Amino acid sequence: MSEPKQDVVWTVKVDKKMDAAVQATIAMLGFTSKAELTREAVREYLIRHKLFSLLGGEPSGPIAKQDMPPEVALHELSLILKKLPKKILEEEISTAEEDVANTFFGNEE
Amino acid sequence: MVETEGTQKFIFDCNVWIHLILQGQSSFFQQLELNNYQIILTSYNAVEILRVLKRISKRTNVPFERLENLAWNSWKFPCIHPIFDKPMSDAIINEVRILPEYAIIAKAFDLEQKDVPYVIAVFQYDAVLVTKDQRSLVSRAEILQEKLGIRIITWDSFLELLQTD
Repeated sequence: MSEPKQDVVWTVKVDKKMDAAVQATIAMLGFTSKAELTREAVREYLIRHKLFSLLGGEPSGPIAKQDMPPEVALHELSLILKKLPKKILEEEISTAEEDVANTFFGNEE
Repeated sequence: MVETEGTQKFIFDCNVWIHLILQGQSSFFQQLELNNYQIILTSYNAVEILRVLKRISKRTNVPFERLENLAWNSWKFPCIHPIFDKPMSDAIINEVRILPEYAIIAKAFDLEQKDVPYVIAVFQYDAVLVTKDQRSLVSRAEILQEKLGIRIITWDSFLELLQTD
């Protein structure tokens, strides 16, 4: 049987401007409380932080910095990966999958 | 993403992607286009592949920035459809924020939690999942098809399909 969920209570002091902004956001986005918005915002921050830890920053995204035909890029990438023994490559895939899963689905949160 | 009659959508798992990169055959992707196959690339999918490349950069002393740039460029074949925009962190937030639901799905279908983003994406985009992972997903393929109507096939089955289509 799993252990009962244990919550802690936060008390956070904010200035009036931030309070007003949060109140307006709650009304606009349909949150039911400040606590719900806070949890959601912190959760988003943590996921973003986890992604940055995994990849060393924000992924550059679909618009690549140095433009080149996909054929050339694939060939070049292939040559780099071929430098590694198959067994090492398989280990790296498995470890990377675990890294990502543990980062996003680990016990934190 | 433009869909025409006869378009078939697929999602490749991380193992399949690395295998394809290793093969380095552009003709394979050209064949997919001829077959009217679309390969969906989700943000979770991309993060897994980029994480592999990040680890490989340490092994090979090739800067990760270069590997990442090559990956993004190699994903520009017309048959490949990344389903996210910049910044990618926004997309991954949307994919992994619903942890309790993920845990329930994993438990209900006896899956590893890492496989759940793939199951959800396959369901969401009406695609077929192609995997080289025999342990978890392929062993649950029958029940996932029965209960959720999603298809999971092995890499070998995909190659057979490609030849017969």
